[in-house]
Amino acid sequence: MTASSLIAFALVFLASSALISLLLGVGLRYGERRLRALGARAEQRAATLTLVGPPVLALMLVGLLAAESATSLLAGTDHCEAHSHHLHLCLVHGAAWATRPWAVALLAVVACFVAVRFLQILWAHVDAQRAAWHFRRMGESFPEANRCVSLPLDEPLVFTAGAVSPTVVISRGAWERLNSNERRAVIEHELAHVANGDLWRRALLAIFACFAAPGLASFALRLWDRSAERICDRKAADAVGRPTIVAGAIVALARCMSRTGAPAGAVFAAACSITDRVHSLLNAEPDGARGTAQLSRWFLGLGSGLALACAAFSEQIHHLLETILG
Amino acid sequence: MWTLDQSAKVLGTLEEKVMDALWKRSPMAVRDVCKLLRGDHELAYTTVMTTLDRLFKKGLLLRHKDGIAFVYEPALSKDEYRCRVLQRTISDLMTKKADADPVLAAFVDAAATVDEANLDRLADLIAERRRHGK
Repeated sequence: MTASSLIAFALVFLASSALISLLLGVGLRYGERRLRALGARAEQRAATLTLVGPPVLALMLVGLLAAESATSLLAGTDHCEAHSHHLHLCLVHGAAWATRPWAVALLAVVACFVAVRFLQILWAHVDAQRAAWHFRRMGESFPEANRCVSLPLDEPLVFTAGAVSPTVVISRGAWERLNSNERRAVIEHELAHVANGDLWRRALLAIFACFAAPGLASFALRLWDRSAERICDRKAADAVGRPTIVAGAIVALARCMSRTGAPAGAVFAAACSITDRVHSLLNAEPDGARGTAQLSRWFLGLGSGLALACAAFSEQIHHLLETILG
Repeated sequence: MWTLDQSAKVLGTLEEKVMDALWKRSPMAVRDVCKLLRGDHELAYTTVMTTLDRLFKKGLLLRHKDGIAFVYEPALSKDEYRCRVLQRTISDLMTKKADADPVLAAFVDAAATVDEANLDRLADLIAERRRHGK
């Protein structure tokens, strides 16, 4: 295996991932209204598939390209003799363009970006997890709600931190400003984030987003954040029995925050306006379970179709791709 | 010298023990702190003196001379210290990590809550729904 073959396959992976992401991202953007009508779960599934799909499909494409030369290597034959009629891209010989300075520089830049981003995300979540453990040590736990702690702060704060072992934090300031029903609603909302594994799922998606087309990744992530909030609002409304209680808690806390100047920043709720959440709750928006099943079937069908087509015409596809990329 | 804000991080184990001792009883000289802590471990006088000096430099202790020795007392109560640490940790999580990605799932984002008139409209809408029994 040569360095040029590694560079070539890595660049093919990155380019195809960005291209597939561009196609899916455009679909997501144009289908946003339709997804909204299907419900929050459908929106979240579509955003997840838009972020996870491209690198997975790109990996399959690279696998298809590498499979033939890999099997030839294992069999001890020279697969490249079959390529006398055109240029080729294989594990043994790589590609002529992959040795050019622009290709090496491009791969180096992208690899650095992905590595830095990965470390940045990892470090941010390690920090948040340490903080979550710290809150658990420093706060007073709620006997009736596992994982929930109360902190002696006057700022009205309610949040969940920690991707591995999440802790729900409610400040004294928030607790005192809510009535008993609203308190239950905010706890149920945060516990829904814990039950859905939103924090670790979001961290993984941010890593997948490194391989997506720039711009579209942030759009898909914002859509995911927005739907995550609405899903948890819905769960909280189901738990407390009335959506107006959850909507009331949102408005009550928002009002306190705007008056007291609580710290703002990197939270899921930043992607979702309060108006949007309240209207979504009051209008009994569908939860999107049916839409999610539809989307999954559609993607599964498409994926199976592609896999079958690749298996049936593997040699032709392999040679076609090599002709384009070689 | 460190500022109080910089020191508002989780302390080391010995630093925590020293602070706890001084929150229980203060002011105390190095020798008194040593005596109080010796119940747990055999601690050298110089180790305790260095720890007290470090806590003073972090702004967590005040000190003044009593004869030839320094006596120390906490610069803030245990509750004030806890609040300071918590506020700093939360502020760090919410602001410094903004360039990475959300690491918190907050019930409401403070940045999105500035329009009082809009909040009034939403509150009216909720009240109307409540009147209709929803």
